[in-house]
Amino acid sequence: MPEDLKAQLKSMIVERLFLKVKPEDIADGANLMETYGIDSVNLFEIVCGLVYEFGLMLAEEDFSIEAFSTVDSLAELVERKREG
Amino acid sequence: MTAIRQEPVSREVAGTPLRGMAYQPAGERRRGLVLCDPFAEEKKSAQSTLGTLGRALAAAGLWAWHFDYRGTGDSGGEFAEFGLEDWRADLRTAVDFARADCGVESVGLLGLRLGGTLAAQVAAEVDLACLVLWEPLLDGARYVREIRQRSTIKHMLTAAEGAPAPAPPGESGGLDMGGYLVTPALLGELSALRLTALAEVSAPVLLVECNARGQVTEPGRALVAGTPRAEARALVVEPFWQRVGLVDTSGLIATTVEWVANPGAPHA
Repeated sequence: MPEDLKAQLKSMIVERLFLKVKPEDIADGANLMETYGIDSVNLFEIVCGLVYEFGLMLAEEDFSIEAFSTVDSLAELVERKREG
Repeated sequence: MTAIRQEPVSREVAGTPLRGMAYQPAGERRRGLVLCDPFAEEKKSAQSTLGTLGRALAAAGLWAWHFDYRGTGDSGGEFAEFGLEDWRADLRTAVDFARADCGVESVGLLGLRLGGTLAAQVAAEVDLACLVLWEPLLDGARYVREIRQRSTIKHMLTAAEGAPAPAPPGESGGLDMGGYLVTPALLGELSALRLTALAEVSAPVLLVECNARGQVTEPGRALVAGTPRAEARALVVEPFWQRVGLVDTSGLIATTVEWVANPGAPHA
């Protein structure tokens, strides 16, 4: 998994959620909901980031707790959607 | 400290009352703003900020009225009976009400999200002292897509918790948005919304964007381009209309009140 993709995802998450942490301090495998208290409103912000900053077209079946739980899983989702 | 008053006032539109809170300055109320709500969940999240804005405007000597569109909040009528043109009519009525019944000589509109888009559309038709747009909806289709995504996320989280799942988007023919059942017809109207220019607006315009970078976006720049009396600013403010908890919007309110007190004048 490209490290720069994960770094971009972390920057997007910190910026869109106004988190008071440095992007590099987010562990790749940290559960975002448990670690940062991410709720449905925050998840929506992440979805907007994926759509408007990463250019993804998300379908109904892309929405799963597993896909949005960590930076690792988000990176997998981005790669999978980019591969089409 | 200037004494201000805050009181509920109403005005009928086609037999249905528009109700809202008026913020009255201590002295003469020569100038004022009608505050135009966003929609559904965004309306709930923005309630506190718009109330604070109303009080800040009154403290600065301006009258303000923050009302509910027909079919929403405290106003009369059933939600399903109204559409966007009805709410634009509500804005026109609110401006007339401010002038004719409240003695406000110079009236402007301030709208957030959907309220901003409706206010910009109405501003092309009525004589206004100023127009303030806080993060107006520029692309209705995108807005509706985001509404559906939010609904899908809620559905996903509810299912993960093992709770009874709400109806997924579209299954009931409409969409539950913060307790409002948005009909396919209204979704269609929302989808068709486009705000790409303010060319027909003659009043001074302030567009405010709220984001983490404090930079005006390209669509924001495009919106004000070609309108000599329009300017765009960006502030580092969380999207409070999407948040459940408190968000510091003091900078947004201070910037807005300062501009409205002297719209169109150069500001630092």
